[in-house]
This record gives sequence, C-alpha cells and structure tokens, in this order.
Amino acid sequence: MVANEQGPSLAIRRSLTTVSRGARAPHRTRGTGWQAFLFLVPALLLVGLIFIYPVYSLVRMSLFQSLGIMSLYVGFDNYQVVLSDPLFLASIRNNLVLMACVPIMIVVALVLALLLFEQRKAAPLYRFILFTPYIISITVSGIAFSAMLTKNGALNQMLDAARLGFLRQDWLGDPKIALLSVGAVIIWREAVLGVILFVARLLSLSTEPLEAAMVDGATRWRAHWSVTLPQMRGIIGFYAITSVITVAVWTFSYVFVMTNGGPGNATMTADLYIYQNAFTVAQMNLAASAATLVLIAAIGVVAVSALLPRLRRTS
Amino acid sequence: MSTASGDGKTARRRDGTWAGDVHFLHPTRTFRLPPPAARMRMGGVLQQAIQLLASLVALFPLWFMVWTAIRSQKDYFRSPLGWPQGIQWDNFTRAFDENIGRWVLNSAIVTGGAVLLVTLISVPAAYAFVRLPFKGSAILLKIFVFLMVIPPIVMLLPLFSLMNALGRVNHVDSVIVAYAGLMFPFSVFMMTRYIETIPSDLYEAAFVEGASHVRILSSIVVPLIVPALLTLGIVNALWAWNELLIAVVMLQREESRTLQAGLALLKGKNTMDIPLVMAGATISAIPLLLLYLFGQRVFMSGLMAGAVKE
Repeated sequence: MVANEQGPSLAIRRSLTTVSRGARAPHRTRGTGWQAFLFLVPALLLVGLIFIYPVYSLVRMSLFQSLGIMSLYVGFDNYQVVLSDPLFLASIRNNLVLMACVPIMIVVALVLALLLFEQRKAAPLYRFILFTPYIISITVSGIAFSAMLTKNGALNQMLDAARLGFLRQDWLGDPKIALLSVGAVIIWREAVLGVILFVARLLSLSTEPLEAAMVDGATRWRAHWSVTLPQMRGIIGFYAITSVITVAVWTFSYVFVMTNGGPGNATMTADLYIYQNAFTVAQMNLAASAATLVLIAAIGVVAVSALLPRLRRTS
Repeated sequence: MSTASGDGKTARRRDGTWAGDVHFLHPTRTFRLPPPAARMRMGGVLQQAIQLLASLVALFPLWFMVWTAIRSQKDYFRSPLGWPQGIQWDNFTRAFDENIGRWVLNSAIVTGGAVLLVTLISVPAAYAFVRLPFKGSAILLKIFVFLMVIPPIVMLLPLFSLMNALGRVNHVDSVIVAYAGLMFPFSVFMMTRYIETIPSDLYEAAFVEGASHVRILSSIVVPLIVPALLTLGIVNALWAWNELLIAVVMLQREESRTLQAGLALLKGKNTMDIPLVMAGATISAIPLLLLYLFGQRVFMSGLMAGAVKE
C-alpha cells in the first residue's frame, strides 16, 4: 500500500505485494523494459518518420543549395536570403498583425462561455449552434466567406439593406483591409475553441465560492469577475498560447482558400510563404530555412510560456 | 439566490443531480451544471441578445452556403441574399461530375485509415507508459506530447521529398501515415491519461493467472476504454477530415485528392461559378453536420476532451 503513494506508474509493484510470490515471478523475470520497448516500437517508428527525420532533414536542407542533382553546402546563406526577402518580412509582419486577434478571441470566448454557463433552458441549443464553426472545415467556411466578402457579396448587400451602404468595402480585394477580414474569419472560427475550453472548465468548477460571493451581496457579474475568472487563469493562459501558435504558424488553410496571399501580398503569411517557395517557385532550400525559422519560433513560444509562470513565482 | 429558488420546476433527482443537468463523457470526470440556486437568472435582455447575435453569426456562412448551392449562377449574381428563383439541383449533379464523389471516398479512406492506424499505435504505447514504466519513460512521454505544438508546415517539405523519392506522392497511404503521425502526440497523451484512471485491482487477477501484457491490454484494458476510444476517434476524425495543407501537397492528381484539397482547387478553378463551388462545399459539410446532429453527445464530449489537452 505504501507503493501506492508513489503514483499510478508504480501500480504494478503494488499488485506484486498483494499477490503470492509464485504467481508473479514470471512477470518479474521477463523484464518490463524489454516489453515496454516492444509496445513502443510502432510509436517510435512513427515519430521518427513524421517528426525526427523531417526536422533533421529540414535543417540539413536549409544549409544546402541544390544545383541540379548536386547539393552545395552554403552555410547560413539561405537564411540570409530569406531574412532579407521583403516578402518574408511582410509575411512575418502580417502574422504579427494577426496576433491582435488573440485578445479579441479571448474576450469573445469568455463572454460567450459565461453566457452559455448561465443560460438555462436553451443552453443545449445554443451550445450546439455555437460549436458548429469548429465542426465545419476551414476550407468550407473559407469558401463561404470569400463569396460573402466580395464587392457585390452578401455582406455588402446586407449593409445596403441596413442603410449602412457607406460601410461597403471590397473586403478581401482591398489591400488595406484584406488582412483584417482574414483576421475576422480566424476569430469567427478559433474563438469557438475558446468557448469549448472555457465551458469545459466552468463546468468543472466548484460552485461554492460563487455562491458565497453572492450571499455576501455581490452581483452575478461582479461575482464572476472576482471569483470565477481567477480560477480560469490556467485555461485562459493555455488558450492564449494555443491561439498565438495558431495565428503565428498555422494560418495556411485560411489564406490559401480565401486570398492565396493577395491582393498583392497583403495577406501573405509565414506558412503560405513557405508553401509557395517550396511548391510553386521550387526554391526548396529557401523554403526549408524559412520553415526552420518557423520551427524555432514555435518552440520559442512554448518555451516562453513554460518559463513565464516560474519567473512570476520567483519574483 | 431567492430568484432561482422561486421557480419550483427544477427538482433534485435522487442521485443528487438536478433536472436539466448536462453530463459529458470525459476521461476523468462527469461534468455537471451547478445546482440551480447557483446558476443565477441571467434573464437580461442584453444577454439573450448577445447569444442570439452570436448564434446568427455562427450559422450565417453555413446558411449562405446552402442558400447559394440551390440557385443558378445568374440568380446568384442578381442578388446573393435574395429569394431563389426556383431551386436548382443541377449544381449538385455538376459537382459530382467534377469528381467530388471520388474525393468523398478518398477522404473517407484517409480519415478511416489514419484514425485506425494512430489508435493501433498510441494505445499500446500509452499502456506501456502506464503499466511498464522504465527509466526515462516519463521524459519520453513529455517529448511525445510536446510534438503537438510543431506545425505541420515544418515537417512538410522533407516529408514530401521523402514520399516523392519513395513514389508515394498521389497515393493515399502517404497522407494516412502523415496524419497518423500528426495525431499521435495528442492521442498518446489522452490515452495515457485515461489508462491511468483504471484501478490496478483490475489487473491483479490477470497477473495471478499469468496473462501476458498483450493479453491484458486486449482483454482488460481495451474493453474498459471503449468510450475514450470513441471520443479520441471523433477528435482525430474531425481533424483528418478537415485537414488541407498536407492533402494539397501530397495529393496533386485530381482523382487522388481528398475532399478539402479538391474543394480548394475547385474554388480556384471556378472563380465565377459560385453556386457550383457552394454545392461542393455543402456536400463536404453534410456528413459532419449529420454526425454532429445525431451524435451530439459524443461530439460534445469529444470536443471538450480534445479541448482539455493542457
């Protein structure tokens, strides 16, 4: 029973203390490490094939330049070319602009999740409706949005009908606002993930602190603000990190379907830049160095997010 | 507090739950709404208005898609939102002429194959992490889970070169393996968390009888984790069915495309024929919407379990 305190991973040992010696002996002598390895072989092969080899190969690719069938080692030259490419810098800038979506997504998701939580009779219906953007693929909703956002599309028609015709825009065709329109569509879908996360967390919270605050005379929103929100800090942080990674390196489907980086390069993003360099311009080595930079950025975001709470605790 | 207790309709059931509670399947716990007394009335007009507006915004593109799919091109350009002048089923037949039936089949093969493959690989791995811990296994699991944050665009170029060298480009198996790999980190994480919750007493009898680990996994663990397997399957299937980037790169021949890749390229090819593209999009959305509509509970729990992947 003592072994039980050391965590579930030692559950086997616990079973051994309660079972007669003769019965367990064969399991012990066989050696668990060897068996664990057998169980893990397919997983290790898969991870090696899909993650380890590609990352190794990517870094290698980024340091070479192919000339026909030959490859020439060029050191960091590809990185230099990519980092001085105005298009790459523009796409990084666009990804940074899209980061402005993250706080909006958090607020929208929090409000909707709290409303869902407080809603009584119609909660299942609203939940069903609000989750649909996450069920539908980005491709499908991107296709619908790109038709709705054209000059003579549904949105402008609605604005006219509401006598707001002066707000008419060529939402995806005007370089000045195309990126914002893409951002709005990203919010439309990705905020739903926040609602799902926050509702799941809300439903797992104890209601007692909230009730106590209400007894003390706090209004319900005040009680949520000072009692519920602090308990949600962890999940909000998790959602924020996930969303930052999404808008930084995971925007391909949105821009590929809606704008393909246009008009001009107004909505070019880092992953679309890599895709185009690799598969339309056939500059694999340049694309590889850009992808390596993206990998470093993704690891950086995770590292910073892992370090932040520790820094706060020590200070 | 008094506002909620005033309404006598909500009754406490014998098992301590409340009428109207929502239960979710979840690896570790059952979610339950707080008792009515704590769920203060949010009767405010403003709150209802926000929810109604949010619902309209959430559903509008979907409605617009169907609305457009059933009309003629001329009718659409006359007024995108106007009442259709007669229903035009022709768009759907034309969509099927564009190979969409084949794409649906490819998507089904890719999704089914990848979900099956990743389940067959991640369940034994998770079992090993829980029941057969070795030196460094905790770190290995952490590394596996960390892989979740690496975006597919990073692996894509070398994977494409590799599959090209092996002659697997334009074959669904390349995409099945790639999807299984990308779904693996989350799958092994979720399965580990779930298998950890199985009380060890359940293994003891099997140990006494001298059953092997393979036997224990297949006849004790797997039957116990069927709900979790279902949830995981749904999260993974949703992801695989909707994936675009890898499909576009790996499946370039028209007849080998998945639905998403086919649709994206159909849209690029028919910039003016919007009703046709919308018909294609509708066909692609229907299977998921039907599943969502009829399997709502499993879907919800899948989404929430997929969501709680801290």
